[in-house]
Amino acid sequence: MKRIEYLKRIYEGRLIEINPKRLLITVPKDEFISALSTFKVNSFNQLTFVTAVDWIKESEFEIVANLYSRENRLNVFVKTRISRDNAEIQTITSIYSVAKKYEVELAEMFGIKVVGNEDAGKPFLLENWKSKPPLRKEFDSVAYAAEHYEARHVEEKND
Amino acid sequence: MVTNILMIIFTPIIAFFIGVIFVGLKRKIIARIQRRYGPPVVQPLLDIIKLLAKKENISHGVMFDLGPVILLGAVIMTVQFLPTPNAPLLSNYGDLIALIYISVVGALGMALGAGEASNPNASIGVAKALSLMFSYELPFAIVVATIILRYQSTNINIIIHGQSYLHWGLFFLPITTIAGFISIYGAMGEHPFDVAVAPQEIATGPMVEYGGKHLGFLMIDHMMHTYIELALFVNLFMGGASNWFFFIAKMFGVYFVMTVIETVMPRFKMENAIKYFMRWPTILALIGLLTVYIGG
Amino acid sequence: MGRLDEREAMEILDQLRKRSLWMLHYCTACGAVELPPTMTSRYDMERFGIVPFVTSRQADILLVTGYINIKTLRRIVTVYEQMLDPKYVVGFGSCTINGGIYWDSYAVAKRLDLYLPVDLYIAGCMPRPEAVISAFRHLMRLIDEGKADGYRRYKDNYDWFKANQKKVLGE
Repeated sequence: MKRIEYLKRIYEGRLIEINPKRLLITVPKDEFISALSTFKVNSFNQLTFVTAVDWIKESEFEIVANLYSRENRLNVFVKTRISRDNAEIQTITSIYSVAKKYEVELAEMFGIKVVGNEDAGKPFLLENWKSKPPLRKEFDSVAYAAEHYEARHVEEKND
Repeated sequence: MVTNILMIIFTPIIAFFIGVIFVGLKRKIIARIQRRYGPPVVQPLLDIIKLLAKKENISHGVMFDLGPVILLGAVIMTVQFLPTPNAPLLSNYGDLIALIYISVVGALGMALGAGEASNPNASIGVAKALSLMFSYELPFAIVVATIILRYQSTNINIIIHGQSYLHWGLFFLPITTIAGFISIYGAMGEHPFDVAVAPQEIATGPMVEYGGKHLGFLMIDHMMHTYIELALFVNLFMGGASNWFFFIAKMFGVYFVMTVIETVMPRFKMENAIKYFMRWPTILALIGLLTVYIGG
Repeated sequence: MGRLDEREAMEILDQLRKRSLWMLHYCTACGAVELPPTMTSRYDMERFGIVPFVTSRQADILLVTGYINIKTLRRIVTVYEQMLDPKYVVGFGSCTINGGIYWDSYAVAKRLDLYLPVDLYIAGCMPRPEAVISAFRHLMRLIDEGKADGYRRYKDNYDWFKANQKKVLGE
């Protein structure tokens, strides 16, 4: 646990413990990649996921990365905020190479442009998709499904 | 003489029906070992009728259509060179070496036909089948040389005559019998060695583009091929038979042992199967050859 | 005994054909988890002659198990057109009937019989193996009476099926 004490000393006060197995830190946008490499060097060498949360009222995206350390058996959440119009981030495959497919999902489902990953612009799950990226909160899934796919007409329902 | 000519015409049909009953019994035995009821015993015949009654056929050219036909021709010709009880068919005109030579022609015709299908699975399956055939012919050739050396002739009828009064090859040449059994097991394409037709890995290999009537032909060939391999084993090592009842009973005994082994074995990888054939069956066959050569 | 005309020959062949149907082992979606219990020893399916096969050229029945993704629908239509006549389609699970629990998703089509001719539906999420075997026996009875003619319907109404597919797949 020496590494954890070292990390807590560097990020004085910003590294919080939510419960005994999870830590949390929020960094500004420019320090995201350097924070990830600091955590990787100090025993957090497995990336579980990297994804985004849509805060539509504050008009921001929040990028969340979950790192796991096998020696100390701890999770840490590294969060950062970017703006919602013209959203773009740098790729993190230079630190964790497994993040390649997670960034493809960020580009396709949220519309966040990822600079440096050449698979991120091409369609992977959605072929011939012409409307907005579907995991944004302004996308209405029920209306899209009712308009594009026909339902079966029944006279009486036994719900 | 007249009996011989009649049997030449009817033996392929008898071979087909014996093959149908044996393959149906094999599925029933495997089902009973796995504690369930199985399909009815005539199920392979229903499968063949359903396949021959399909209304459409997809063809990729002339060689694709000719592949199963070449295989059927080679199989019928091989049946004629195996002596049956009371009728030697054509085995006085072609001996054991000619029989081994002819039985390879069918597989080569099938390989040409399957290579014509423009599917990479078929090419992989054909390469694996031919490599496997190359490796199980090696102990089989040494076993054949041992038998020729012992009985001093290549005519199958003289080999059968030398095993009368229970002087079977099974009791007097045991090591050679084991090596011959493993080689014929590899030739039948049963479970440790069915790399060529691996349904889960390469989508049934050479048969991947065949459907409908072509597949019906291939299944007919498979039934007759079962009869050929079993009859060869019974004639070389278990002394033929004097009437049809004992002939079928002996073939069924061998097939029962093969089925019970097949139920519990997984499938070898390609490299492991080839290495296996070049190691233990070859050593056993060479020991048998040395025994016969020194013993006289 | 005179010659049989084509209809009587087809009736005799249908009675023999229903006893050895071959299934295509293509697990489309989450409903395929009910196929291994049906195939193995407890609820044995092989005693009716139904065996799973792996190529579309050798199979008779296409089982659409579960929801119909748009990306999968394109591939299923290609596989169906590669099978040889006579062929049957069975819709497995509630998602093929009216969308099931994915009725409000942006990538799931709701009705299967607009895109492929369906002979039989099996309701349930998931259906039990006893329901699957009872459905296969019902399909055998339909083949016996000559009512399972999905492949003829596809050829007769080819333009209507193609227009529906083009509207939703967009090519």
